[in-house]
Amino acid sequence: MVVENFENFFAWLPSALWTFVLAGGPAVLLIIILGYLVAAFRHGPAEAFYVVAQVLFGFIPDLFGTSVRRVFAIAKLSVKEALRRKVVLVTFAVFAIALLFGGWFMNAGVDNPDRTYVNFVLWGTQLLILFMGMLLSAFSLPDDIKNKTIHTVVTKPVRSTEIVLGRILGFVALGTALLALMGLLSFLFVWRSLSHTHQLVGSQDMAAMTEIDPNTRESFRGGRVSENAILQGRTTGDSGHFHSVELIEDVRLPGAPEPENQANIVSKKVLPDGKTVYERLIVNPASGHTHQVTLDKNADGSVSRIRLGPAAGYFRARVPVYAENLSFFDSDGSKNQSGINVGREWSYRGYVDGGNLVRPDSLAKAELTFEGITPNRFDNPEQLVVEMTLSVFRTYKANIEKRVIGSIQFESVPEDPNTTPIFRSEVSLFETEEYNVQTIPVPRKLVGKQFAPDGTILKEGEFDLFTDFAGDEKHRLKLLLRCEDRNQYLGLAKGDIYFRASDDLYWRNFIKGYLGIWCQLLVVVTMGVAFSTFLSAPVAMILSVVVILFGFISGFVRNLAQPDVSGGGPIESFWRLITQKNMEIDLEPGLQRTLMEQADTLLVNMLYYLTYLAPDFQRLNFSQYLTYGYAVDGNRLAVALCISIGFCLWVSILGYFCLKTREIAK
Amino acid sequence: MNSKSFIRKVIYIVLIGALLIPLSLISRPASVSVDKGQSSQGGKLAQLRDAYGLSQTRVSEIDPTSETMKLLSLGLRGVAVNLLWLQAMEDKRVENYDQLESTLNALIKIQPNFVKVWEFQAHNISYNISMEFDDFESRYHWVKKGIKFLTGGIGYNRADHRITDNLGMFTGMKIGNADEKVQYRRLFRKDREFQDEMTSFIDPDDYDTRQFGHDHWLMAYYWYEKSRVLVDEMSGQPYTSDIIFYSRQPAQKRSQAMSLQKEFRSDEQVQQIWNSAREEWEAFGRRPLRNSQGLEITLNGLAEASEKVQRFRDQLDELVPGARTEFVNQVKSQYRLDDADKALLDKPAEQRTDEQNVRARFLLQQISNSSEEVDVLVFQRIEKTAPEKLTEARDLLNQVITARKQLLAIDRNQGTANYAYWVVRNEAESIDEALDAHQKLFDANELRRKSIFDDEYMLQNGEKKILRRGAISVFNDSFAAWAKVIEKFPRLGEGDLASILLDEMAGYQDILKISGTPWPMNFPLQKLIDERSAQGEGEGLPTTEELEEERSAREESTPTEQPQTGNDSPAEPKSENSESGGGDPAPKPAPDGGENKAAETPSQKPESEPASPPLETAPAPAEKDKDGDGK
Repeated sequence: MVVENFENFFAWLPSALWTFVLAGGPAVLLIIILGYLVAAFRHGPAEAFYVVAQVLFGFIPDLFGTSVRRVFAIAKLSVKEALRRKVVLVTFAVFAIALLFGGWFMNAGVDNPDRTYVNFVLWGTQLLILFMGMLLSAFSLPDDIKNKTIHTVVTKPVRSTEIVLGRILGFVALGTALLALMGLLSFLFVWRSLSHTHQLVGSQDMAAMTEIDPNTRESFRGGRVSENAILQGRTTGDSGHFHSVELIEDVRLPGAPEPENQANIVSKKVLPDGKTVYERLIVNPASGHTHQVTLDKNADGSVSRIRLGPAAGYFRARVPVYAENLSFFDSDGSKNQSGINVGREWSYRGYVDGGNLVRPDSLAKAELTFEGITPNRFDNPEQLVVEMTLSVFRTYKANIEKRVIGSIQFESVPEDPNTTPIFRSEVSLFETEEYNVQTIPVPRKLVGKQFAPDGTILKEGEFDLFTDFAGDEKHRLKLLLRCEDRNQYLGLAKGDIYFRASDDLYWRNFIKGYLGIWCQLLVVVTMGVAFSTFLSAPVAMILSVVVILFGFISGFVRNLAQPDVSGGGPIESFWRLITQKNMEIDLEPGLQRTLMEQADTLLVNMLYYLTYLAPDFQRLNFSQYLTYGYAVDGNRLAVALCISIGFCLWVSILGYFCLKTREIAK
Repeated sequence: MNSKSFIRKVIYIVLIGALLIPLSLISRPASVSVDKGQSSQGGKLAQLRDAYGLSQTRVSEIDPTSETMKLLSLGLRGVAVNLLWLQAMEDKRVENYDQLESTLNALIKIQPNFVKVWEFQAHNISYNISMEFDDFESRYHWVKKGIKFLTGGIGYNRADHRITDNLGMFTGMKIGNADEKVQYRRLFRKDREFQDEMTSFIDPDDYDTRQFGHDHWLMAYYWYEKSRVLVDEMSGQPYTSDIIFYSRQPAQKRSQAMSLQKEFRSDEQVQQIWNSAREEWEAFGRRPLRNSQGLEITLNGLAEASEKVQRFRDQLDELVPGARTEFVNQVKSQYRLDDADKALLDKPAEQRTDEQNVRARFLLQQISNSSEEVDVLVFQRIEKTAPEKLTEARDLLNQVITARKQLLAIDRNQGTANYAYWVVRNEAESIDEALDAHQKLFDANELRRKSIFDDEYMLQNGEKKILRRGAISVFNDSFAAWAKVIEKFPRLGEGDLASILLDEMAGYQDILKISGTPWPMNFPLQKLIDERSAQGEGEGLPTTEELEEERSAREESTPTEQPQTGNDSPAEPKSENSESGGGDPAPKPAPDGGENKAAETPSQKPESEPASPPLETAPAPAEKDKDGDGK
C-alpha cells in the first residue's frame, strides 16, 4: 500500500488549528462585511451596524438557550419525514440489488479478488449514502419553507440553532442506521463471495503428488517450484483460480521450535547431526490467499486423505510499525536523501544499487530507523515479522529465472557513537518478490556481533533484539537494506517496509473504514442543511456536490497553489498564454514582472487557504486500508473526526445565521 | 368538453400513431427468435449498423452492463471517458496495476465499439505493464492479461479484423520474440488454464503439435486466419498494407519451425512444418496483392513481369531496328563511367565494402532509370521515321511502362517481405540435408552444454577407437553439413540463417580455445565467414587472410630440418630474409586466387565495354526484411 503521509494527530493538530483560523477567519470577516452591506442596503448604514451586531450577539443566548429536548424532537420529526419520503427505502433497495447482482459482473479470477469486492462495496456504499444524505438534507428545509410547515415549528418557539442542529442530528442518525445495515450486508457479501475451497486434482491423498524433474525444477505450469520442494500437485480450479501444492522439506536446527502448524506435517525425521526434517504439505498462494492443509492419517502414520481448508489470508488488518526515518546511502557511502532515481516517472521510491564491476563492494544501502521497538507492542515478541513491498530495477536482464537478491541487517542506534558500543546482526539474504508483500521472520535472538566505537569486536553470539539492539532510551532500531546483485537496484519508500506488530480484528477494522464514510456523511448532511437555509433545494444540492468534488480534488488544487510552480501563478500563466511564452522562458525583469509575481503570490495563497474551506475528502476515505488489508490507525481516525467536526461546526454556524436572518414567521 | 379541443386532440393522437410506423421501420432492433429459428433484421438503422458492424444490433448481443454504464453517464459519456483515461494513466504512473485493470474494464464498457481503445490498452498491458515486473512468471501473466483483454473486444466488434490481427501479433511475436521467449514458450506450453479460456475462439487441438506440445505460433496463425477471413468476407481493405497483412499468417509456421529447432532436436515433424511453411509462403506468393498505388501484383511474378517487359520492348524495337542500341550507347556515354566505377560494378557485391555497395546501387539505379529514357527515345524515333506505326508504337510503349511499373512494384514488395529469401530458406529447410545439419548442430550444442568438448577414445591395437564423440567433432560435422546446404542454396548465406551459424561458430571458437585446439584450416564454412566479415559481421571469427597470416607466422617460427651451417642464421625463409638485408619479404602466394582475380578483373576487361549490367535488369533491391516478418 502506498503511504505518502504519516499522520500523527498531536503533531497535526496545532498546524490544523492555525490553518482553520487562517482559512476561516477571513471567510467569517467577509461574511460579516457582506451581511453589513445587505443590511445597509435595507436599513441604511448606521442602522445596519446595529442589525449586524444584534444578529451576531444574538447567537450567544440562542446557543446557550438551545434545548436538547427540542433538538431531539426536531431530529425525530426529521427522521419521520425522511422515512415517509421513502428515500431511505429506495437507497437501500438499490444497494440490495447491487449486492445481489453485482457479483455476476465481478471476476473472481482476478489477481486480488478481495480488493475488487471490498472496493466495490465501499464505493457503492459511499456513493449511495452520500447521495441519500444530500437529498434528504438539501430538500428538507426548503420544502418546509415552501409548504409553510416551518411556521408551526418556528412559532413554538424553536430557536434557529435547534432547527439546524435537530435536522442535522436526525438525518445523521438515519444515515448512521442505514450505514450500519449496509456495512453488515457488505461484510457478509464480501465474506460470502470470497469463501471457497478446493480439492486436489486426482486422488485426495499423496498419490496426487508427482515428482519434480531434478534437472529442470519446473512446476507443472512451467514456472519455478520452491527450492525445498520435493513433490508437486495442483488443486481444482474454483472461483477462477487454482493453486499449486508442494511437499516441502522444512529443516530445523537442533533446539529450534517445532512448526506451529502440525496438521500438515506428512513425516518427521531426525538426522544424525541433530537436525529435524519435517516434510510438510503446503498450498502456494494465488489471488492473494492460500488454504490450510489438514491431513488424515492412518494408524501407521501414512496419509489417508488430504483436506484443504477455506481461503486464508483475505481478511487481514495488519498493524504496521513504520520507520521514523528513511535514509539512502550511495555506493561510496555518502548520504543521499531520496535515493537513486532510475528514471521512473513516479518518484515515490528511491533506489539502492548493488554495485558494479568498477565498484563491486558497494556501500549503498537504505537505512530505516524505527522507534519504540518494545516487546509489548508485538503479538509474538519471540518471532517478529518484517513485511516489505520492494521494487526492482535491472540494468541488464542477467538470469531472468533468478530473482534479484537483497539483504537485511539490524543495527542498534547508539546514544553516543563515541562511547556506546554498537550491535550489528548477521546479514540475512532474501529473494525479492516485486509488487508482492513478502514476509521475513526475525527471531528475537539475533546472531551478530557487538562492536566498540573504534570498530573492534567486543563480543560475538546471540543478542536480544529488544534489550540489546533496541536497548536505548527511545528503543530505536536500524534496519539496513542492501541490494546484493551487481548492476541491479532495489527500490523502496518509507511505507514499504515495516514490522507487522499484530493484526487488528477484521470486523473492527471494517467498522473503522465505515467510520470514514460516516464522517463524510456528517459533512454532507451538515452542508445540505446549512446551504438549504438560504438556497432552494436543487441549488443547495448542486452547491453540496461542488463542495464535495472540490474536497476530493483539494489535494490536487493545493499542489497547483504552490508559489514556485513552473510557469508562475494564474496572472503570469495568463500573460504567458497571450504572449505565447512557454514555461521555461524567463520573463523580462521589471515592474510588470514584479507586479505579476506579487499578485500571483497573493492569489495563490488565497487559493491555498480557500482549499481548506472544503473538507479534504481524501483524508476521510479509508477504503485503501480495507482494500489492502491494513488497520486504520487511531491517528488517522482522530484527524478525520477532527476535520469533520471542525467543518461541520463552522458550516452549521453559517446555517444558523442564514436561517436567523431569513425572517421566517417573524 | 370543447369540441374543437377534442378534435385537435384526436388529430394529434392520429398523427402520433401515424408517425410511429416510420419510426418503427427506422429504429426497430434486430432480434433472433431461438425457438422458431427466425431472425429479424430490424429497422433501417439496425440494418445499417449490422452492415457496417458498428454496434450491437441484436437484442441478445446487447451487454446490459455496458448499456447501463452508458446510460448512467447521463449524456456525459465523453466526460466520463476522459476521466477514466486520466485515471488509467494515473494508475499506471503510480504502479497501481490492480486498479488500472478495474479502470480499463470500466472504460471499455463505455467505449466498447472504439477498436483503438481495445488495441491501445491491450498493447499497454501486454507490452508496457508486463515489463514492469521483475519475475518472468508475472510478466507472462500480464502478457496473457493483455491478450485476454483484447479478446473481450471481439464480441463488440465482430466485423473488425484489427482485433484478431493484433491478437495474432501479441500471441505470436510478443511470446515468441521477447527476451524471455524461452520462458514464455515453456509457460505457454503448459498453460492449460489459458488454453481452456481461449477454447471459445480457437480449439486447443488446432495448435497442439502433439510431440512438442501446444505452440503459440500456431495459435497466432489461427488468429491471423480469422483476421484474413474477416477481410476477405467483408471485401474490405486491411488496416495495414496488403503485403504486411497477408505475410503475417504464413510467417507463423516458419517461426514455429525455427523456435522448435532451437529448443528440440529437429525431426521429421519439424521438417513437415517447414514444408507446410513453404506451401503457405508459395500460396502467399500467388496471392494478388494491391500496393500503395492500387496496382495488383503477385510476389512470385517477378520473372514473368521481367519477361513481359522484355517482350514488349522487343516488339517495340522491331518497329525501328537498331535504334535501341544507338540510344543505349548514347545514354551510357552521358554517365561517363570511369574505370573505378566500371571496376566497382564488375566486383561481386559480397566483396564490396558498405560504401562501395552504396555507390554501386546508385550507379545501377541511374543506369536502369535510363532504360525508361531509351524507351521514350525509341518511340520518338518511330514518331519521326515511321509515323504509320505510331499507334502501334504508342500501345507498345504504354505496355512497356505498365509492365515496368508492375516489375518495380513486385521487386520492391518482394524486398519488403524478403520474399525471395524465404522461398529459398523454406525449400532448403525442407530437404534431408538441412534436417541432418540441424540435428548435428543440436547434438553439438548439447555436448557443449555438458562441457564434453573432445572425443573420448582409446587405443586398441595402435588404432584410435572413439568411445564418445565430443562437441568439437560434432560441430565440425554439422558445419560440413551446412556447407553442403549453402552450396545448394547460396542465397542462404545472405539471411538470418547465416547470422545464426556465425553465432554457433563463435561458440565453437570458444570451446576450441578451452580445448586448446586451433581453428581448422579447412573449415567448411570459411567462405561464409569471409563474406560476412567483409560486411562487418562475425567479429572475432578468423578470416582466411588471418588464418594464412597465422600459418605463415607459425611456419616462420617453426625450425626446419636442414643442417646447421654453423651460423646463427634462422631457417630458410628467415635466412632468405636476412640475406636480402631485411628488404621486403617475398610476396605471399594468394590463398585461392580470389584477391588476385579481383585485382586482375579491371585490367582484363576491354575498355570499350564498361562493366555495367544490362539495362533491363531489375533496379537496386530495396532494404531486405532480414527477420522475415514482413516489415
